Amino acid sequence: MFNQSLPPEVLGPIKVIFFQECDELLSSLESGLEALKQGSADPEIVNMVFRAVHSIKGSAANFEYVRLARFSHSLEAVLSDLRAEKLGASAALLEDLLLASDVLAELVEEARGGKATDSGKTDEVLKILAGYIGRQAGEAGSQRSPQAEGKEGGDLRAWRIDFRPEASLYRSANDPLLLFRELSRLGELKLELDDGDIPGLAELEPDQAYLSWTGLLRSFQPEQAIWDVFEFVAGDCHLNITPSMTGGLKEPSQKAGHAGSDIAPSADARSNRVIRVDLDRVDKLFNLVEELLVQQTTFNHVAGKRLAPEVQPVYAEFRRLSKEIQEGLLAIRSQPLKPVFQRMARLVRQLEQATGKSVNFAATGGDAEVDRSVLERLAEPLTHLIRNAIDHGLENPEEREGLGKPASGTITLSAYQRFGRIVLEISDDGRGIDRERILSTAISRGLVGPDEHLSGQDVESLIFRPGFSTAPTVSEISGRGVGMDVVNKCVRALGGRISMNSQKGVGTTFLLSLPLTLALLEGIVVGAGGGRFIVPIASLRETLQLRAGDIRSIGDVKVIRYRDRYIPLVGLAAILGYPQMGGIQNSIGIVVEDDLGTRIAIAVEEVFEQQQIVVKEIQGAYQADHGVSAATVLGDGHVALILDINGIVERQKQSAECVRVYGKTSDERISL
Amino acid sequence: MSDQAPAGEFLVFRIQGQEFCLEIGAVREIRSATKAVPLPNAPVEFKGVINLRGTVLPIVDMASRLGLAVVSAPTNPVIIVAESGERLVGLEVDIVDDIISVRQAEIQSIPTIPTGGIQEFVCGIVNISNRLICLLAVDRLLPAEKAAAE
Repeated sequence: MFNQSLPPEVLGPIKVIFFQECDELLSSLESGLEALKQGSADPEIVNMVFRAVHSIKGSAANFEYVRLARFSHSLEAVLSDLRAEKLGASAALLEDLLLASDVLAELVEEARGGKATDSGKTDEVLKILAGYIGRQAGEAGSQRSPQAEGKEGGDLRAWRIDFRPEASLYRSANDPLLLFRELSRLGELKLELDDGDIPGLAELEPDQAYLSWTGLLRSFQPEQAIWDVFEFVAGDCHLNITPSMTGGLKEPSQKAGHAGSDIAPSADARSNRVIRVDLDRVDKLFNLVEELLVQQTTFNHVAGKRLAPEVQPVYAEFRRLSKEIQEGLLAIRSQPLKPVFQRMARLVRQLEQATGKSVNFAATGGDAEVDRSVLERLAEPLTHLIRNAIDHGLENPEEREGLGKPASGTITLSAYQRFGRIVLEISDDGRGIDRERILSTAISRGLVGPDEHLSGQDVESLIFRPGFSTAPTVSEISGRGVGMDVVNKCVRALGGRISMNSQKGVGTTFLLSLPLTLALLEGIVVGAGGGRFIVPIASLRETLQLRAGDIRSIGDVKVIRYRDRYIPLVGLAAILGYPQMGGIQNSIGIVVEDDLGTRIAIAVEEVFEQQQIVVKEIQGAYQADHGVSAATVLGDGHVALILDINGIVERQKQSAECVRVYGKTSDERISL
Repeated sequence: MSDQAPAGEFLVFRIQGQEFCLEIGAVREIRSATKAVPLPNAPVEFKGVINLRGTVLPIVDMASRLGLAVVSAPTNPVIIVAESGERLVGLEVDIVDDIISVRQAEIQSIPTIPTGGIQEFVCGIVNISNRLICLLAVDRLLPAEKAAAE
């Protein structure tokens, strides 16, 4: 109905809110079902789960997401029976409900414009759900539209409810919202608010009542049930309940684009200490504070030393406050890991089905918070790791029993903060990673020479190299040759590190350490070709003062000796295609290392201080693979480009001359 | 295309002797040009980035973007900070002339002439008191749009 009555510019934001709510509701649905599965018998949890699905259903119908509405309707029917204790909370039922919640999440994603869901799977789950409510509604019931609520006995009837609270209703601390919520539990409720009686501001009495509502309720409940809802406010309102002849839901709700046209999907049990803020607003504010900090640094640069002594403490206080505002905003942008963890739980359940392996999944530390920028990009590496753990790590149930392990495998995902970083641990109790096999694979792929001696850790780190995948065949689950190098790449792109610990037969643990935010970066400022650049500290190994004698040549390629090995030396200006100012002689060599451990030296003219910089996207989405990943604004107002060391090393590798040198250095590296 | 262009106020500027205009709503501010930090391996019309009060703003050299031969370098080039959707871009032009009010009828479609290039960015021609002013479409000027099209 929204679709017909509202223009897209109004509808758009409402949909955004709908999907935000869906995310929250799905999250509480899932955590509720998990709690029930763990054996909780709290009726409030069943209620919460029911309300979540009910709310999704209501809004989905409003937005005419037919598949979503239909599916949530079926799921709601089962939950309603569970709530009414017509169904017992058996383990099998909860498994099916979790499965259904996964499908529901997929349908929400589909409605949001994500990929289309597998309708075969949806139908299959619908059938399972229909099995639970078979006795009342049968299979057809699950296919019926959500408007046709068909189960609780009695006939479906439509009621018109005219409700006008008096001031005394509010004075006795009643809230119409709660009444409507109660009403919406009886059936399908459509409400229209009449605010026509609100006087002008001058006449408005804040403690008077001006609002009235007209509702249309379609319900199987007897009339008395509706009167009962208003039992406690009967004396404080005008109330009229009459059978509605039209029976059409659209009649009262068509005009109801404004105000509380449908109360059901509103903030159910959400705490009122939480406000919902559009992330764009927070980002805008964050950018403003960044500007403020840059201006402040500029001010300091220009006038800091000339400030009168009595002004200095005031200025210092300004700086401190700005910094605190920035930190506060970072905290606001921070979000708990929980949604990602729940996504992983869903993934585990899907993979259990696909592989026939049984998995106990335990996630801890979901309350730990990271910046949105990190959170958004965390799911990809975690998904790969969990897929790998289930597909390759865990043995089949029979195999496990043969080994004296429990038939169900265990995967744990835990998170904690340490030293201003977030650490994620993914462990399985599977077969572990066979070092012999890693080594033989690496040798057969030509990653290692057959005679080389590597330490256990070095062998383990081989799995992060590109072109390495221990899976003998490409499996449906772990994908098409996507290996740990992809995970490594994701993690590195986040400024993180990954390591692995594995014991054959016992299990494998992956350790990811990530920064809490991508908005800030530690780097050193260097100067070359008249410009300033940032070298991220994570990529920096050392800075060297270069003398003429240090630089040798192999053909056209300049090399320097660094820790007993020759590594290529390239001028930064040359890398970036700027005119070279002066020779490479007497410059400073910055030894950097890319994600794969390849080192090169970059010649720059000047090295300035190390500092924490604010990462700025280059507006206009300029293509990034040119050696620059983003930019920042320095204290003096100059723009400095942030070097993308991976991209730079990659480009150097691609030039034919360098290949020889690299072949040599990487061989040397491995042999040590 | 031009038939749909809403009439309203337009900012008129000159590039190498030719007049162009943008819908005033797309213009955030006008500032004198400062030296841009060039981005490596960037297309020639992309001059680099500047610091716009903390925002890193890409600067497009309009003469080069529109493929106009540079007859005389402007003495005091100006940057028009324009927005398209969420994105900001700095358009470097020779000089800003004035703001004109245009009625729908005064906007004509581009004549089909075999010039190539510049038509890509022009969504109409303003024909007002014997002036010929090309109405530019900001979204088509942005570097990403170009990158995507190539």
